[in-house]
Amino acid sequence: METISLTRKIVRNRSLRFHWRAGLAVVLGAAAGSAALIGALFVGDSMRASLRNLALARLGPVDFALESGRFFREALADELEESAELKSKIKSVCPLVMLRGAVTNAETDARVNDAQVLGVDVRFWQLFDRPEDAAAMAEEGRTVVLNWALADELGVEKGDDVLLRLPKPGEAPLETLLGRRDDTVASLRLTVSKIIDVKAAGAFALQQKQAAARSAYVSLAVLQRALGQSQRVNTLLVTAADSNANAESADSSLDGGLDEKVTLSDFNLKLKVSEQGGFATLESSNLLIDPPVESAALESVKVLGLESVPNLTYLANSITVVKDGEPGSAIPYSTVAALDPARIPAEQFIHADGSAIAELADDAIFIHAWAAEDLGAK
Amino acid sequence: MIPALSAESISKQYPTRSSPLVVLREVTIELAEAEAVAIVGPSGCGKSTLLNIFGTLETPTSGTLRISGQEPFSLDEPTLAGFRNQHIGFVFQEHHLLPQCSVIENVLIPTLPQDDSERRSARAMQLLERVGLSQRLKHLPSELSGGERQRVAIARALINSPRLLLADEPTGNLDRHSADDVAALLLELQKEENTTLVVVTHSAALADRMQKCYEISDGRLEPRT
Repeated sequence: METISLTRKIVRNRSLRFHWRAGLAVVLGAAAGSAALIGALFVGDSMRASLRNLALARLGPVDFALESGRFFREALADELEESAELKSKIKSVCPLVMLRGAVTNAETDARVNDAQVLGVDVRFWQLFDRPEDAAAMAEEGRTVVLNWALADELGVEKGDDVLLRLPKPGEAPLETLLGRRDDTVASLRLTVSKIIDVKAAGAFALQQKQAAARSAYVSLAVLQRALGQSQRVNTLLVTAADSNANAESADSSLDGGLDEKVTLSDFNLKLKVSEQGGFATLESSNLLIDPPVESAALESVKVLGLESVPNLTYLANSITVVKDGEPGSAIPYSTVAALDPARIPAEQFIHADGSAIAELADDAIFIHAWAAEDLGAK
Repeated sequence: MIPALSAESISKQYPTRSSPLVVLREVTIELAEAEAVAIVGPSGCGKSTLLNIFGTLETPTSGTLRISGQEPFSLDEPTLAGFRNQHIGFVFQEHHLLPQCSVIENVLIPTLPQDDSERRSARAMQLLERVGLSQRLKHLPSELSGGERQRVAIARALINSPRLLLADEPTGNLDRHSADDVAALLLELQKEENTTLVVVTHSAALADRMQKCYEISDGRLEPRT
């Protein structure tokens, strides 16, 4: 009698043969899926590497950047560079003004609206090891260096004139009464002294964009003057002594250095001490004190064991006396201070007759004796 | 003598969102060697669940099952699989033959873990001769009728000479003539092989051919009068 043997191998082969169509479809599907995934991983990896290289090329030797929404003292750069604590960790600190603005070809009116305008001095060119480009930008001269990306778009060559229009930083917001609306733009007519390649300093940008930055390089002093920000900048570029060193350690050292070196002026703040009155006033040239500054100030007052009286002083169009429902005398453009009398020392806030003011009702206002006299108010 | 199957207070319930669904309540039964019994009851009463518990394919919520004196649910999974392969044969409503394997190969499938191919082959051919398919050894399942396929399934269930043969609606998919043939064959082989047979069925004709008949009602197993 014939012996029929059955093994796992026979069953497996039989199954593969019997289900070959479905098996082939699964294999092809898996192959196509794998190929798509592997391809995507390769492309993604390559794209990530390309973007990383692009970003590093734009930063050049810059390891850290401090970019601020407000202008601060240019001298802060030197102070940080010379700080004993940071000396071993920092190679250089370069101050500059960095803004977005419109650049126009003075002859053809070709315009680039969102160009990167950099106010730089020799320290910037040294950072990128291009001292020869510094010479092209006379410190006090009305010249500008462009990179090819911007020059191409404007259609300008060396010797052509361009117009620069930049937003002027104001101390008070434009939407407030105190904001100046008549002087919001700085305009400069400059002659192109050199056009540099879009690499090294010519490619420098802090923004992550695939397209090359379109940059104009202006003398730092000229730009500061045009913006009304003499000796002030809004960006610091820091090169670490050892770029391969632990970034977090250098970062925290920089934070510590900044904490030590910044002054109230860097925050547009002034502390006025009235020895006679026995009080100090913290004022901001930006009209309103930013919430973080307010918190820090109140915390400091608490630590020092002092009393604080937050107040808001603003401009009133007019103060008018109303008698029998009819408007009477008025004082135009007065300042009005909002404050809590209960938090003011009694001797600082008194009635005309010398008695202490205990409280101020929600629908009440105090005016001083001169205003009362002018208005005929009681 | 040790009973072929002994179930003691077997209960089975399934958790649901509201309250647990109780399918079997305190089922107790003892089957002697070579006994043939039928379990009947309306659809959804728990017949197949009970058969699956007897076949160790499902675990009871509570209660004890012994097959040939051994408690299969105390075994670990690989040992239980070996126990099931050696002691229990299954015949389902669907034949579940592998379409890529011939008739004799299908019968030999449960013997794959064993080594003695000559003995296995002889046993398979003997069984196929007994079920009347000795001339169709190399045929594929697709070349057989429904009744013939079910006969192959019976031969496959008996290839390891199990102590317990479980059949779930074995004639459910067959015409009356084929159903009668398969039922007769099942009982003949059960006697010849000295196997204990448990058949779950809706068919009164098939149930009547068994020595005993039980009915499941409200989860309880009771002898049918």
